[in-house]
Parts: sequence; C-alpha cells; structure tokens
Amino acid sequence: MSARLLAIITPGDEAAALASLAGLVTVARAAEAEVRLAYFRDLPPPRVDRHDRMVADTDAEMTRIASVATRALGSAALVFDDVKMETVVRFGKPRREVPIEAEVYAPQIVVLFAAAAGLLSRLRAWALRRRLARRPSSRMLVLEPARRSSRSSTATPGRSERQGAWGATSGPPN
Amino acid sequence: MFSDLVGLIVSVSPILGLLVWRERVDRRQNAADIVRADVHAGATRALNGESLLAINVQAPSVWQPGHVRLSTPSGYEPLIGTAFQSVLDRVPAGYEVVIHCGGNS
Repeated sequence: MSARLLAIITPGDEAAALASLAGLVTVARAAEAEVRLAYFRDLPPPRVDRHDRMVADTDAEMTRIASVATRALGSAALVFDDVKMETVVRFGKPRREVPIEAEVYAPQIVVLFAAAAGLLSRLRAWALRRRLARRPSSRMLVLEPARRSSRSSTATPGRSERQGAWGATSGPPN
Repeated sequence: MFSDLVGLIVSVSPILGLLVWRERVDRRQNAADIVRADVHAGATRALNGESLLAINVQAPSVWQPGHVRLSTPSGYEPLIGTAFQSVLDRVPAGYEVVIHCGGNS
C-alpha cells in the first residue's frame, strides 16, 4: 500500500500552494505517496446583486468555488503525471474541517504551506498546527516557497494573489 | 525567623527559576543537536557523502514544535527529494520538517 500525503490549503495559502507544488511532488515521489490536495474554505454567503437580489445561493456558490479551485489545482498538477494526485474542496471552518479530513484520510504525512503574511494568518496557522500535532500517526511537513527577490516584490501581484482566494468575487455583479 | 525564611525564598526563587529555565532550554538544545546529528548522518548516507543540503534544527519550545529545516542553494533542490525519506525516518515526534522550496525544486 502506498503512503498517503494530505496537503492542506487554507484561505490565504493559495499562492504559496501553487508556488510549492513542485516541492510537494518531489516529496511525494520520494515517499512514493499518493497526494490529496484539500482546499478548505469557509461556507460562502449567498451572492446578491447591487439591489440585494440573490443571484446565487450558497449551494451554487459552493459549486462554483469548488469548480474554480479544482480547475486551478488540477491544471497545475497536470504537469506532474507520475504522481497520483486528487483534489478535494471542503467547506466549513478550517479549524474544524481539517482535523476531520486528517482523521478520515489517515495520511502518513500532512503537508502545510507557509502561512501568509499577517498576524491573524500566522495565529490561525499556529493553532492548526497545534491541532494536527496531536495526531501521533502522521508527520508534519511545512513547505516554504522561495522568497521573492527585491525586484519581484515590487512587481504586480499574480492573479491568485489579486483574487485572494479561488472563486472570490471583488464585488456584487451588475 | 519565619519572615527571614520567607524573605530568603522570595529573594532566591527568581534566580532558581532562571537557572531551572536555562537548564531546560539547554537540555532541549542538546536534544535538538542530537537530532541534527542523526538527520545529518542519514542525509549524508542517502546522498553518498557530504552535499550542499543544509540542515538546521530548532529545538521545540512550549509554544511551537521543533523544526528540522532543509534547504539547498538554487538549482540543487533535487537533493532534498533524494534525502527526504531518510530524513523523515530520523525526525522524532514533536518536530516538523520544513522544506524551503527554491525556484528549481
């Protein structure tokens, strides 16, 4: 039986996850593991237009966000066809959903991505790590993307960074 | 007599507390150094000799687990993949493996 590797992507980690995907695949190859990319997202509110008319309910929004996230991760993972990789999207509070996913999937290795800048993100990541560290059966692995050079830090942010999260909308539709 | 004893305890306890705390920190650092030596030996064996793989071990604290940080210069990231399984086998519970993914990983 091959090893299982659970990669946890929480809101704010999307760009780091995509940047570290090659490193994740390297680790999966070395451990001969199959990978589950699990994207955790809060339950989205219904989408309303500027007249407060509902244009998409929570279910429709969940379907849309799941589709966007699966497409983004799936297309990035297509390059690495030698590693078995699946993408799942889970809705709910990450602090509750992540331990459930880890319990169900029972991975040998749990991969986290370096927390985004900001005190709140770091606190959330710290709390999540504390929860996951209670599982004695799995090892924790943290992937840090390469630091940006001073030249690239002033460049225009990428699409996923501008959006903040997959499927995020900047404002109500017209 | 009793007040003298209380005064002695109150004046000595901060120093004793500091010594106990330093002792604990030193023990944790010693344990981290042993982990580092073990991981380094495993990585060296896996890579058939010394390499450009840098291993930095941070001792666990009350607030956070220990870190075994692996990094390489840009262009040498495959070394991490080669040594990864050997490193993972040697990292004890209470430590996280942190991999710094360079641009060519």
